[in-house]
Amino acid sequence: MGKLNTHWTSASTDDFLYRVAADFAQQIEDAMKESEASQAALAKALGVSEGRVSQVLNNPGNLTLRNAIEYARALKRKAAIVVYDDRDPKNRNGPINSKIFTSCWEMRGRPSDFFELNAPPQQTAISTQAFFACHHGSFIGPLVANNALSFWPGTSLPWPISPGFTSSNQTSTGTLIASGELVWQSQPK
Amino acid sequence: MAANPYSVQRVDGQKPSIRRGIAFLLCRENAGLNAAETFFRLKPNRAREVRTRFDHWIDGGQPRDNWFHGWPGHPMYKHCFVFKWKENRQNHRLYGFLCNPQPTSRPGFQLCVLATHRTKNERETDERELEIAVSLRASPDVIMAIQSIYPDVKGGKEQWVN
Repeated sequence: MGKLNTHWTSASTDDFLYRVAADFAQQIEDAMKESEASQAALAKALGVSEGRVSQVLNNPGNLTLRNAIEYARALKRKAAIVVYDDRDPKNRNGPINSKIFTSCWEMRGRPSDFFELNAPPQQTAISTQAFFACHHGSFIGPLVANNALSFWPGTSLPWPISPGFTSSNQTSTGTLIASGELVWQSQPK
Repeated sequence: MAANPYSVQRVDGQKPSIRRGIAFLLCRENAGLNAAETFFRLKPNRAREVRTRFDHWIDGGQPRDNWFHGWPGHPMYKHCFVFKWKENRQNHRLYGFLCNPQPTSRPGFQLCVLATHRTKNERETDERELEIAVSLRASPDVIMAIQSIYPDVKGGKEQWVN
């Protein structure tokens, strides 16, 4: 390979495709871990052999769009194709890892339409991170909420929220929330 | 004064980053430092796989032990690092070490200097490889070779490539 002045994915479409597909395969592996799904279980859901699943995940360069959708759907996930401008027209930096897009979407509260996307932060249905204060003014935080939770200021939250809190803290904080003492701030920047 | 047998080669084509970079260590008197030779002989798809792992580390992605890892909690090997892949049922390893050759101009920078390629089938790490990495990291000649490619320019005026 000659000296490269740009990212290695600039060398050919196959190179770029491999990297994008490898990012996708990583996401599938993460989703399998989250759902505690084995390769055998995924293979069964897809109606293919376990070897085929292993082949696709380990050699993602041959991944097709159809495969990608099938794999995501088999894990009860969805997939999107994103075109973006990262101000790197010469591709010196390579593709942005797809996990970064997913993380941004989750941090924004997983908007499902443009109304939710454009709503002011206070009206965002889901906050993955929030700060709160006790009624006597002492600050406790940050409170990292389960991504799957949806809650609004003033509503009581199911426990446990953060694994970092002891049960006594959770109880007392839970009481505060129930009495409406939770102080919300918009999502931290 | 004898010429320095060591030299350092940046891994071209990886994302330029102010935080992390990857380079190969070569030695004209020691063919055992074969990480670069192995890497540049990889077949296209394997090279893509390894470069994807390099990208992931440079980007600060979540650690994946089957892609790369260090030994941060180990008293002797805390600066050692390894990138991994599997080919034809054989485990391949690129061993090296982490350092920051630019503590003044880029205090948070981490350079991964890869030195040796080995194949292995045992689960346990061969500590000899880590000892080689530790010894190379401390070698004045190696330090000089790294600094020739990654000089610590006061004021940070140089345009860092990675």
